[in-house]
Amino acid sequence: MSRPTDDDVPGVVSARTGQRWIPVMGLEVHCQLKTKTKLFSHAPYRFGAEPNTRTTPVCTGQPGALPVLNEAAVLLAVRAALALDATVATWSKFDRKNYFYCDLPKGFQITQFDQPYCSGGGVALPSGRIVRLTRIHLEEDAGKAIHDRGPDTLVDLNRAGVPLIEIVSEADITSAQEAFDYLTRLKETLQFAGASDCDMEKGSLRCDVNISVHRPGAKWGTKVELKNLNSFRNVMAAADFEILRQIEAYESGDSALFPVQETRTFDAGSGKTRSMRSKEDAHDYRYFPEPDLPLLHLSAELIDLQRRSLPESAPARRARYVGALGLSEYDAGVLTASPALAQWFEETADLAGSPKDAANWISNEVLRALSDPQIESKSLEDLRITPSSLAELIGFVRAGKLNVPAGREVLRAMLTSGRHAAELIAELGLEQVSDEGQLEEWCQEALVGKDKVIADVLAGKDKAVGALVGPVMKASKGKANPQVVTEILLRLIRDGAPS
Amino acid sequence: MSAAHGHPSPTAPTGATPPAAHGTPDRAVVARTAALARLALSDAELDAVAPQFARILGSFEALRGLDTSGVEPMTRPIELAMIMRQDVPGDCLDPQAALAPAPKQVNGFFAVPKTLEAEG
Amino acid sequence: MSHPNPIDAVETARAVAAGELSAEQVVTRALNAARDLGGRLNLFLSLDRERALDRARAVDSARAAGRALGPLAGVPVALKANMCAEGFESNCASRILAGYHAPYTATFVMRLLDAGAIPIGVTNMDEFAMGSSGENSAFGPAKNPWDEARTPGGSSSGAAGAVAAGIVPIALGSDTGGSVRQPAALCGILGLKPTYGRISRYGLIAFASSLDQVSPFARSVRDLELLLELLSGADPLDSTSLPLAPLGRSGEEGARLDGLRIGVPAQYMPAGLDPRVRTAIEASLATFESLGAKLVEVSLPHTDAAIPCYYVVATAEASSNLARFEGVRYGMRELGDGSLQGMMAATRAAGFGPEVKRRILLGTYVLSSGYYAAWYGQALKVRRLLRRDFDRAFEQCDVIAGPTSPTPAFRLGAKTADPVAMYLNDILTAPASLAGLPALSLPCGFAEESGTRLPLGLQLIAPPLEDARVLRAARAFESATDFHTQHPALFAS
Repeated sequence: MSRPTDDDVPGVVSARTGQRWIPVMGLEVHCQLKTKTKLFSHAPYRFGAEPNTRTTPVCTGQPGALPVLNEAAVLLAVRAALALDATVATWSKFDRKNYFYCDLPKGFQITQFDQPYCSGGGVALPSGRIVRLTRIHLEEDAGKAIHDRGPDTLVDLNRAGVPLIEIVSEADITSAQEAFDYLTRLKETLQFAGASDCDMEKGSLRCDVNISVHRPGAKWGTKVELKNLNSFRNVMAAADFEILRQIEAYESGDSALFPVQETRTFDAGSGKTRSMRSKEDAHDYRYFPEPDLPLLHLSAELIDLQRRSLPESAPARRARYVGALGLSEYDAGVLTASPALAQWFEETADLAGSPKDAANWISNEVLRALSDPQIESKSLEDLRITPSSLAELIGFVRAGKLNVPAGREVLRAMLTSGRHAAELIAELGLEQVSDEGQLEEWCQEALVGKDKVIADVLAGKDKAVGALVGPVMKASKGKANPQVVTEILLRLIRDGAPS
Repeated sequence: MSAAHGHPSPTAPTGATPPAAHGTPDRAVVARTAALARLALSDAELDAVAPQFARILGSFEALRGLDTSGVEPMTRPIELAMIMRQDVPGDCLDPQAALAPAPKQVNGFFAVPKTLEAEG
Repeated sequence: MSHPNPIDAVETARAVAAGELSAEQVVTRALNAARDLGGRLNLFLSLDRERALDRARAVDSARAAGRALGPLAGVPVALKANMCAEGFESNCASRILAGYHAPYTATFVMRLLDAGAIPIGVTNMDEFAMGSSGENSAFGPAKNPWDEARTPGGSSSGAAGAVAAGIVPIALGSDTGGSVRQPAALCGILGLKPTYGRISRYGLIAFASSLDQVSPFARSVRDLELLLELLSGADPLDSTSLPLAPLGRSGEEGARLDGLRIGVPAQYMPAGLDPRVRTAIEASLATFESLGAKLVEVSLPHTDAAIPCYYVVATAEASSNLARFEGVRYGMRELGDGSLQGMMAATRAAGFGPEVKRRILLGTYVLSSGYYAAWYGQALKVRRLLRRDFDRAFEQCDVIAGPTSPTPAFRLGAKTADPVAMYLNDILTAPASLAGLPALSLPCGFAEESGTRLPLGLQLIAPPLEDARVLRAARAFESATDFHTQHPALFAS
């Protein structure tokens, strides 16, 4: 694995000069670990809780309070590392990063500086190229400063001390699209490893981009840091903007306009990046070893145990869905959008005894319902159906008790009421009619005056009978089994029974 | 933490020591240090502190003269294994108790002078 | 020749348990003495009369009801103002924390309370424990009960004074570079800095995290031993607390020290040592010999580097530990120029005293970019060399002995103008702190000065975890001498 050479990279061709430029990007991703409590205190974090209700003496930086490491956070961090093919260090160290800000209760952040718990690893892009990782380290989050409510800046320390891993990539990313792909794959890996929810809206995944451009073969340009990128789309948009801005600056030939080492923020409204006020004593964080915490030892046995209990990755699941379960690549992709969905699918498939039917019902019906404004549930977790209730419905359809359109109607009722299929089928009178006498009666009626169809069928065009199935279904109020209806119609025509 | 572009591994701050470290820290160095430490020292205080500072560091020569090549730094007096805590939620501070010692609080928040600047 | 101090904590608890004294009587007397004599000597920053009396009455009713009493039931104890306990103002003798009440209680205070001890108040100290004379308190210096014109030592000035003046039999201080041993020596009492990590630091407001140890003062070795037993042991709230290792008995009264090798480092008895101190230490060494111990000459070659090493390590950690005092969540606030960073800088400038500011500056400097390797990095390496000195010395001896302080108590104001001279007070105590070793100071004689008797202290140092060994040597010494039973004229009981 190594960085592609400038020749391997398409780069960006300047519209003005026709020159080709090579963008270089490295990403720093902060990701909240899915623990119940904070990294160094027993306070349970919940996004959206009332301000300052989730704190302890430790996370409010009360003098005299001391940090104690959360084992679950360490284990999740190890899992994340293993899922990213990284190397977990046997010994690592915590350090203090010193700076002053109102959301940093101790005046320092506990992080890992020169001996992080993890190094190396990589993320495979859909193109097959691998973006190498430099390192991953464990650290605590800061609190939240709110600037837009009243004359003061308001500080909420609920988030202070929440466990994070910071994943630092090598400067292997050469386009905005690759940055997007990298983030998508990284998120998928962390989610399927069970390490993080990676929910950008709730701030459980945050991303900074280091970006520069240079001419092929030339020395790299000055690195600019982009912050405040709160969605993958924004990362792409900001990178695209910044690449062009930097190219334009260099092509102006005026060195006063060349990019300088700075931090820029992205304004999603205008689609532009702009310089943040620089700080006079920026970046003298005076890191030193955290004296309140001993070294962290992670034994080979512990690492091995985590490796063996690592859940199946998304790519492995997709391969299995296609290979062993016979799903399409497309469905396999849809069903591995999140670990929760994949889990939901697998349970339904098991209970229904038919992966393909489960896949169809979930990707065609259940997922659509989640975006239907008339259905209250907006996520799998608050759906009013379960894998077992959906499997039951699929079972009825497969047994011929219900036709597919009726099945859809029942599912809708299940989604709004939370009740079971059997109950709803009876209540809605949707049980498929397979009573031959009744069906024959409706078929006889449908044949009246349809001499053209009859003639076509008798001439060997069986398909023509399709035109008569609809009216029969209508007469049955949708309860007729369309296959049986077709069979009866053909029999009646061939028997020459029409009067 | 930001990884240097092209030099992505942070390294321990063992970089070359500027001349000032071997000489006497002047008033400007003390002023910069005070800013870094968030101590608003008046000119008079700086005038008083700078020579003291130099004298104290000068009296620490015995430290700098020692040959420590090959000596492992000692961060803690006793090396213990990290103790770890189970991930079990415990009691939180009552928000009133958490906020009570604050110089200013507004609607359940700690309140500070308006700032738009980022960390550091 | 003599006996443990008849009014130590063990005896007080026995008398309360036997019904010879009520806890309420004992605590009332302590509170009154703390108010009167303590007030005269500026020993206490605040008293918690009501709660202390409630607790005393609870002990008395428990006894009346026949319930089991803790080993310190009814014993009044003084805390240091850098200790967090609900009900007490833990202001570290600093303006920046004036009025601060912690919303939680330190582990070691909980353990005292569990044993039935009754905290009566918090004592004066050098601001944030930074000082060797008590003169860096924002609330005026504490005074030495042996001579009100002199320092009781520091930084645990008030706690040492309160025990020396007979206000309480025991008190807790904190020792970072000598802040309990040195005032114990200057006040003629005992002070024990345990092995680093033996007593949980949860609830001790940090000065220098890798050096700070909660450390008891007492007037008898058996009290120190009992306190150490009660306070030590792993704490799930302090990752640096040692898993409980049995202390071992320090031996009985009158026990001899046959076979004990006492190392005397030449560096602790330099040519320029105060002759009165030298005489007292030499006499003490002779006492040890008479108890069967063998004297061995040892060397601690890096002692000269201990002061700079200590001041670099301690101030570096302090600069970070004290960053939290910036006017956001607790303590005072000055608005300064009205910006957030301006508010923080103004608050810190107004809230910290000159010595604390000096040390924050020093610590910030030695950690800052370009200076780290030459100062902080070098100090960590020298710290290892200092520890190796001890490791080698302990190959030849079991306990190291020497003076605790190079001089007896000096006059208030004598060294305030010269920080460098003040820092040199720690020359004999800082090495054991840097190495994390158990070290104890006990009374070993007096120096006459302008007609006043000033106590002198003997320091005993043992290898890590061998706290019981210094206690055993001290116990034998205590049985053979009577220095610890002598009181200043200003004595409460």
